[in-house]
Amino acid sequence: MRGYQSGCVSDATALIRRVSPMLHRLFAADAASRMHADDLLQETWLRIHRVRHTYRTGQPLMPWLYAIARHVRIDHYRRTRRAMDREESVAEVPEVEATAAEAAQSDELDTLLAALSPNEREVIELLKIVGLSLEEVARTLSCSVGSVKQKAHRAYKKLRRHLHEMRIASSQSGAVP
Amino acid sequence: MSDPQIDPLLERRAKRMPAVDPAALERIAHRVRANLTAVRPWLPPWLLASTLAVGCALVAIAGAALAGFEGVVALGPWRSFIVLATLASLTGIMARECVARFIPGHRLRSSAGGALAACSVSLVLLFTLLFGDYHASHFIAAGVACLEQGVLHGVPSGILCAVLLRRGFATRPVLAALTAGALAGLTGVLFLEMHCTNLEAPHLIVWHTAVVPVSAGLTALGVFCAHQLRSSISRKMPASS
Repeated sequence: MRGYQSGCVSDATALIRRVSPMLHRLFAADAASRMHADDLLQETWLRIHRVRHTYRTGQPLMPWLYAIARHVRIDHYRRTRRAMDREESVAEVPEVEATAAEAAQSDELDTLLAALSPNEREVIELLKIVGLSLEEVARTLSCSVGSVKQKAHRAYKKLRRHLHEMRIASSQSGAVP
Repeated sequence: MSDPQIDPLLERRAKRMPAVDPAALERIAHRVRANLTAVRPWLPPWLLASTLAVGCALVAIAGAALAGFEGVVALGPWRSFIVLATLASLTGIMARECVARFIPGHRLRSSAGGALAACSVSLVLLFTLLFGDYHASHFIAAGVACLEQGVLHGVPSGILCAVLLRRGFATRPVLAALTAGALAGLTGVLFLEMHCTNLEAPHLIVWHTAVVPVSAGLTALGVFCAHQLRSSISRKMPASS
């Protein structure tokens, strides 16, 4: 990062190659931003490039990067919501290549995550899918570690309940011919 | 935080994440390389916070120097010391929180609303403990005048904040504005304590304390409106082009 700040081309390229897959994971984790993950990644890098002077050497890099990426994602949500308000119908639903089993699992997880509030979903995605620590998530979300723990706890409670309900519903529908 | 049934689902999702398109990665690297120049890292947060706190104190002192230090005389040495020291400490703490809000991923000790509430409660406690005169003569007229003066003296601090932190990047601009507004409000309270001769407890508890939340609220509202305006302009741009 220091090399990137001092204008070193090779350091900048190395940083982009190393960090981009992790940032991409943040966008791909959420159903709402999955389709635009590549575009959002590019937008994030443009914003990182513009505010690269705000990074302080010695401070953790990942929360700094994820805080900016999260800001880009929130902007994207707002734009999408505005566009959806204006449009009357969706033009085309893109097809995603996946096996039937994968799609079923993916649907199950998306349904489960949809039951959470946006804040709880974000905490679960950052902790379990992106793989950040509690401290890193707290820095990324500009809140305390205690608040992150509380949101994660609530999210798990909801997920457990919904998973249980889904399993009961699927077993009942399986039993009835 | 783990669960034997939910964690495997999340782990599977994490493993099945789509890879980044190499062409997109190359495009990003190309764009970054195209305008890559050396940048001077921003000043250390402690230095920014100290400059901000000292600047705010100077604004309040300059205001009191122009309007008169009658408040300090009326308070007396001990009460002046306690009130001004408490306000200086609160200004320092709020300046640190304000700077932290302009650095992405910086550790925050409290939420913006929590910091504002803690600051207001501290002022209420300070005035309740130090002042025992519960008369309220010209409560509204004198109070509104003090509130107005306090908020107006916070404006230069807000400008100082905007100038000092212009290179920063607030990922939550409205919350950053709320903290900056609270800091500007503290400058207003500092000025009022040095200038206002009304030592009635209800006046101090209600109107002097109110400068902080009012100032914070107005700043946050201003930034929110500016954001809405900017987004509505950007919405219209594609249609006009």
